[in-house]
Amino acid sequence: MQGPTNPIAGRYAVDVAKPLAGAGGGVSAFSVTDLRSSAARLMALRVARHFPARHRHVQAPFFAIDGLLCPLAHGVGPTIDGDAGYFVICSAPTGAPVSAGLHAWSEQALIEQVLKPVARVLEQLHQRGLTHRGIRPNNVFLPGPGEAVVLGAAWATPPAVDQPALFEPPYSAMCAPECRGEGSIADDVYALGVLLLTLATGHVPNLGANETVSSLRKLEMGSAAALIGTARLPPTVGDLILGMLAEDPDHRPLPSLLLDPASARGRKVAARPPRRAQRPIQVGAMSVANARMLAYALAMQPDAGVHMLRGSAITQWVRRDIGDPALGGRLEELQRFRVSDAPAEDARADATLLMRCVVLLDPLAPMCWRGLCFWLDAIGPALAVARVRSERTHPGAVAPILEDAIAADMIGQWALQRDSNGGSHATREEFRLVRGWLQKRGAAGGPRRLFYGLNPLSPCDSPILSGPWGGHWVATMADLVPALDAAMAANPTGEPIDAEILAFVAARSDRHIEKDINILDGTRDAEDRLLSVLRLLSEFQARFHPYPTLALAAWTVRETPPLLARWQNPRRRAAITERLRGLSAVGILTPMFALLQDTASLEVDRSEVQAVESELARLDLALKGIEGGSQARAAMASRIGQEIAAGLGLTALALALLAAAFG
Amino acid sequence: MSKRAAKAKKEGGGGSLMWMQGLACGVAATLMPGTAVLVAVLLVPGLCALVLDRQPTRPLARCMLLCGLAVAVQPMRSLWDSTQGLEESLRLITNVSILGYAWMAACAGWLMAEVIPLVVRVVLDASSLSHAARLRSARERLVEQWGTTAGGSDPAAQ
Repeated sequence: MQGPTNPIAGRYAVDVAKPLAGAGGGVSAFSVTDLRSSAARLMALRVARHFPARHRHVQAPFFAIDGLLCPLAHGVGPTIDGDAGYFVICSAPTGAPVSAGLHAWSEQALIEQVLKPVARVLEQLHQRGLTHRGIRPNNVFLPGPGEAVVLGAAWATPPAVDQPALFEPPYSAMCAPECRGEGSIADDVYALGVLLLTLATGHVPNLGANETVSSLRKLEMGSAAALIGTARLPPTVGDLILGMLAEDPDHRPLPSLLLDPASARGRKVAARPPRRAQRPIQVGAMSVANARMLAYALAMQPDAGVHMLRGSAITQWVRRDIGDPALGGRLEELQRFRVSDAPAEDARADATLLMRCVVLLDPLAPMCWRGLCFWLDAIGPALAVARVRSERTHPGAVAPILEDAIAADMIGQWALQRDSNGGSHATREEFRLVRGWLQKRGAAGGPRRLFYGLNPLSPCDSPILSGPWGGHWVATMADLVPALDAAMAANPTGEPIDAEILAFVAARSDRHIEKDINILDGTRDAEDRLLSVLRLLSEFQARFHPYPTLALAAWTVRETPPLLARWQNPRRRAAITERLRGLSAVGILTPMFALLQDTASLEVDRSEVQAVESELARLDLALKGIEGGSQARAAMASRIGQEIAAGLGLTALALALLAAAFG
Repeated sequence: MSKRAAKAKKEGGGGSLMWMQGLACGVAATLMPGTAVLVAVLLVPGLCALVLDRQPTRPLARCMLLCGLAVAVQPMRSLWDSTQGLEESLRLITNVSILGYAWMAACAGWLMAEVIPLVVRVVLDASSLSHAARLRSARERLVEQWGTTAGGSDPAAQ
């Protein structure tokens, strides 16, 4: 199924022995040979098992954009260190990343070699409804002196997962890397602004010791002021960077505008500066000076935040020190609602209060639920990454927090409060479906289904497929059947289906198969369960992989004696067993299942059994009659014997009379 | 009808029959004393069996009397061909061979009434055993074809 002999998409052979250092912008990259053409230089970006690739990008119809390492194909490749390899194929960069030998660029070079080419790429992505989310110095390549830079690939990991927090706006940087989501093209413009600033100054801006400090500085001073600081920038680029680092994404110039730097420079958006408090307030370990900083501190320190929100310190501070009585009044209203709505010890009500307050204080902030900040389209990758940690019971475990937010419809409430213009409707509808997955009982629902439903490219995590006999990367239904066959060949005594596979199948297939899964899930009887498993396997094979699966067929033959026992006619049973063995040699499961599910044959067998049983009952009754009829037989024998004796006596008398009469 | 009433009716019926038989015997002894004595003596074993046989139809006595009568026909004809007197009757009775034949015939009747039922029983048992063997064989064939699940255990073998 996989290995170096199977090229991806039938043409791309990955050579894992030839890594390409630095070509993946932080992602492992390997050399690729195109079996059909040797013109383009290609590379394969390795997709880590629990860092799903960006499905919208890699599954989108092929797109080629000059100045971008576009994805060409994706699929299972050779194994690396015993683990299945999944790769995204794309063009390889021809130069070194701009982070190598970082120096101050001239304004002309910045505009002609960086700004315009990257803006052109972003414009084309924007037209396709896509984002890049990987603009950073080590992922932008300079093919040669004086040439336009090329944007690296950002398809093999969740969006923005490798972005330094510095290159992300505060509302994205406050999330864990896997929780940043696809974002918008304005976020790419922001990252481009930071890149321009880095190249203009010749060094990466340093805002502090860690991400929290840099985010707080950005929120306190505004990103542009915090990042530029005292640096002297060329006038045109400086003005552009100011616009590109605007706090509100709506205030940043679109990529199409950046193609004409003169116009972009002239575009001034009058953003209201944040109201700075006369004196800062301490929230937990953070000292905050404006509403957005307060939202950040509340989101990052939920325990301290809730404690303060339930008092009056924050509302008073907002009213008096920030000077925003309207905002203070709305915060107070939320506090009153919390007090009247739920008992004091209700932790969910506290979390809801904090979530609503964060939305009020910073409308740009992501959803903050129980200490976790995330964008809605990042829930899938976040659940995937949480699987690596496998610590569902840990108090700060990500998966239970996300599942709680979905199950309690907090996402809908957050969207409703955030988008007052009615834009939340689509989000609420979408998450109603997602909530349905989570709340569904059985193998076709629950956290597993949620994980696979939100991560269309994530491989199946079943231990059956990733056992000690060799891991399989099964991301689609077409991959599943051959992988199961290989797993059964390696471990013939194992089971071919478990709950993980059922959840995977429910997420990747249609309602028809989901119905079969529900039947299997609700079946307790061992024979019916086995029959349901066979039904599923045969359906998988018929619909997704119509090729022989000898190991699965052999397993079927091995497991079917209980099913064959339903036929009580030994000759018929032997004939069916023989036919089953014959079909197993072909390796097609559908006729095997049809043979075992032959209700007409079972009905005939059943009626024959009934006839035999009634015949046996008749024989038993007759035998019992013979055994118990000894006395009756004796009486009858006595009666008949006496009659015979009397008859003989009478005959003798008659003969004597005749002899006397005629003698 | 209660059991007691039925018994009384039965006893009453049997009693009148007995009276009628006694009357007939009395008439016969009065009108034909020689014949009556001859028959009575020749049929002594049968008459004794008639008294001793407790079976409802008295099969033993019936068979002994019929056999005794068959042998008594010839002496009675001899009596009727002669004077039919009591002397001739006594002469015939004292003839050991006549008396011996008559009583031996009664014995043969008794033997037949005892042996023939036994023979019939043996025949019937043999027939039943043969039938049971055929049924058991058919059952074994079915069980062999369908296995033990199709039927229960063999009741005849228990």
